[in-house]
Amino acid sequence: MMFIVEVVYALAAFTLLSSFYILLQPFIKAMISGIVTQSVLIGLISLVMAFYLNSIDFVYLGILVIVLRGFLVSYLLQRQILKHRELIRETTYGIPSTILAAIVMAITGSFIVYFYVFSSLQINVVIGSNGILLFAFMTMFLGIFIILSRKNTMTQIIGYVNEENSMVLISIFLIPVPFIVEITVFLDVITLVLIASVVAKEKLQHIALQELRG
Amino acid sequence: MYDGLLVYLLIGLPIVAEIGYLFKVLQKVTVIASLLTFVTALLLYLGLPVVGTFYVTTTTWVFVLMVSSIYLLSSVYSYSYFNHRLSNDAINNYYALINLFVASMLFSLTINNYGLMWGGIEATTVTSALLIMTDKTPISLEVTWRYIIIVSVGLVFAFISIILLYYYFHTLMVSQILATGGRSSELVSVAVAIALVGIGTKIGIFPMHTWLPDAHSEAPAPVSALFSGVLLPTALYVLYMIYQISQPTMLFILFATATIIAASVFLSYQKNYKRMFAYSSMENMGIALLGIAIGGYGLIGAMIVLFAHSFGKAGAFYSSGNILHAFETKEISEVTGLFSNMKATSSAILLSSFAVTGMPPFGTFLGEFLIFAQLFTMHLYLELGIVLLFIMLAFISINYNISRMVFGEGKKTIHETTGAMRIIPILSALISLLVGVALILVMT
Repeated sequence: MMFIVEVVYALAAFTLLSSFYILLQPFIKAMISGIVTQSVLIGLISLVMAFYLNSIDFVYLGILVIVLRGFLVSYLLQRQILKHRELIRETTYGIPSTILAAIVMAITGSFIVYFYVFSSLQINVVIGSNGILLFAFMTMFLGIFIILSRKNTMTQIIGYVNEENSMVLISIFLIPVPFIVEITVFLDVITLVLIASVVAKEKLQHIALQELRG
Repeated sequence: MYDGLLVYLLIGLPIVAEIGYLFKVLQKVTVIASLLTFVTALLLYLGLPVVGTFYVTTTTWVFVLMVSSIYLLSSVYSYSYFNHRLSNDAINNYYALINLFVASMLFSLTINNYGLMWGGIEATTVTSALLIMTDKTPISLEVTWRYIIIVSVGLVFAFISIILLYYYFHTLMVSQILATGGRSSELVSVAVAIALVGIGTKIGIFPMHTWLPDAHSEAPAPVSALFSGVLLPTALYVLYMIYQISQPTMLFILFATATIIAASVFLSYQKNYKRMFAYSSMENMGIALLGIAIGGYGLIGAMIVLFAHSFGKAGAFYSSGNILHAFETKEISEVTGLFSNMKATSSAILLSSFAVTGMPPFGTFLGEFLIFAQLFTMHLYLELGIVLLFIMLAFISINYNISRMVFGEGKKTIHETTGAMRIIPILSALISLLVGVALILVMT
């Protein structure tokens, strides 16, 4: 059983690494691959948990994450790239400073949330120690950082999916929410990705406008 | 079972109306569906409370009535507003989204599950986002995207509170959780605080409000009316349902006061009248949140503020739509002499601005009075003083600008709108006035 716990920790660590990979990619296709990898990793965590806890709910959740987030969402995003050549690459600046800022934000944010808020609560994760939640929190903050640091519709929606994935991770480690709620969340994400495609068709870059100040 | 059927009907009517899309008659079908939804909402009162798949109390019913009323008013107003402005296909798309938007709001209000309430609120973002970009101007596209990304990120954060509630109660059924209670638990308090930040983004609570002035000012007038009049209160209702589990009162008072202060300061230098009304919505949501936080008379006051504000603000946005049609500008300084050219619209915007700023005897005045009375009885004199001061600032800012627009010297001849665009704004403002007068008569 100890081996399974270690596998889950390793998968959670790779999930976090996939967020860094997404953050640092100038090529949007590579970012989508990152999101596919991340979703598959989270799906695998759920499947391993199903074996560990002998719970069928985790099997459904795992399959749902892999199929809907891993493949359907990425298919919808990929389709936009084929339509818009200008979406292949987004200009990014200062990779070292981006990494530094992302690490500072993720560590500081997670530290505050975990040590000041969650550690005082009567919470027990279903696998390993409560520290495993740090992987999910850091993934969440990196998702927010992707949205903040990018100006393109597609890259920002990828950041949003990354943030949503961290919620699935928190839910898996604490308690999977009822299936009907989970389905609602997945449908919302898919619809938002579709709407992002509609917006991207009209406007790709998002910058501050004088008319919207004050 | 019978009452549950009425709720199914309530949510189902706007969805069934979508059949009109196939035959390109959605405009007419939506008006009929909105009328039927309104009648269903009225009938629902006879069967309260509803507990089962749905959870509808008298409080819920007030919100349901607000949504169905503004849905009806906006459907009728849109009928004239978009005529000759949009193609038939665009009008069909617009009504299809309006119906889904209203259905998702009604779902969020009535469903007996916190997780699905959250899903419903997220669905309102999905269904309403494309409505903002109906005109497809570069600014409206930017605003749509800001709305999607800011609100969605906030709501994802709110999902943590749903996970925590489920972790603690092992159920998300509203009726069960409210019956159990969890007031002593720190975990539940944290969940409620996270919900305040997450759902607060949707309500327009400071400092998560940044999408609100942009979206309200750039959306077409009937959509702004729905956003301001009922979308924000719907999100506030969901937060109120979570707040009922556990009450971190001081935190809520702090955020509510900060929202009122920020909105009043922003209001003092607005140059765009639609943006001004958007900040006014933020101010009113702050007042309502304050009432909910302190409870007692404050809670009753909050309900009255929300109800009267929904009609008053809808009237303000409908009037703004008429003015935008006539003057083709949103700049306050470029709109003058309204009273000499557009008697009906100027009366409507004047009454609406009184309604949203709490002028007696409008409903908002009574609501605010009850909230202040509760603050006084709780000995929260500092909060009372601060809130009073900034509400006065907001009152002066809005009414000064509207008076300039209405009574200023007219530079050019403008034609008054006709049909529904003429009647709906004034009707909406008058309902807000009637609510206040009726309640004052009942109370005295």
